[in-house]
Amino acid sequence: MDASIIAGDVPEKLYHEVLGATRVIEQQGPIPSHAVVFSKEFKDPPRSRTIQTITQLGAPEHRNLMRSFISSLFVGFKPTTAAEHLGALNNYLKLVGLKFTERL
Amino acid sequence: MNKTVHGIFRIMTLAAILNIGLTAAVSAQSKLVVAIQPTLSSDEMLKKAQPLAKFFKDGLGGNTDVQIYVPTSHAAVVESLRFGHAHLAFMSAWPAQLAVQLGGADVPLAEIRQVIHGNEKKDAPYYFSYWVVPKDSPYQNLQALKGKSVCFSSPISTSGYVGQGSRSQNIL
Repeated sequence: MDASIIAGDVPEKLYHEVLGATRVIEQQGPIPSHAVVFSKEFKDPPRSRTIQTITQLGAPEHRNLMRSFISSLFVGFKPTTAAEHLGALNNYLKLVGLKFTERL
Repeated sequence: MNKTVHGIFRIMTLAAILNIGLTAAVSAQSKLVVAIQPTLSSDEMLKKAQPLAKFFKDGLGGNTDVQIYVPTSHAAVVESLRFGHAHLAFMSAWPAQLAVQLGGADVPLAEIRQVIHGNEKKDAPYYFSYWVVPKDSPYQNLQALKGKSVCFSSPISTSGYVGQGSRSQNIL
């Protein structure tokens, strides 16, 4: 193998182990983190109440609820939109030409 | 690079619906169905999800029936949002983009993570990834890797494949 990829969202120890044994020749980003995605059918008022509840998961006393099984690197959530958070990814997908295929 | 990744999301719509086995009506405001992208076995994740379900229930006033559901694939999470079987989902970037593109879903919240930008630790909703070679490698840039072997992670990984692929498309 001549080259590989390491991302900046892995545990710190692993990141430094890899970078300590290799040499970086190129970087890519920004790469969007995970997101909370709502169905288009999910309307207010429960929609807004649910967003408020999820946002509270970022409080220090609640973070472990997320860290224990969804994301060990979780800190909190920030308000965003699909265009803002996924814009860079859309550009990458256009460049690569990867397509979603579905067979029925 | 193969222009089309066949079979990544080939879980059929019907199969996804049957596998979900949920009958949540999104309009039923007394119920909240949360889909979580699988990272461990479903059984293990569901067990660990119980405290989160209680958190949601308490946060929503105590009268909401909260169901946490771990589909068998990324595609099933997309489909569960698309067809209204789940109200919301915790998802990685590309599946989230598919839910937006195919199902008109919304992305109101981005996860802030402990990440490393270069040598700097940060809390951020984005990160970078890096092409690395052995320290004694003769290759100094991407152009030099043309025709060489590169190890990518999962073909649906945003950082390990999609992003890097776009970079190589620009250069190679």
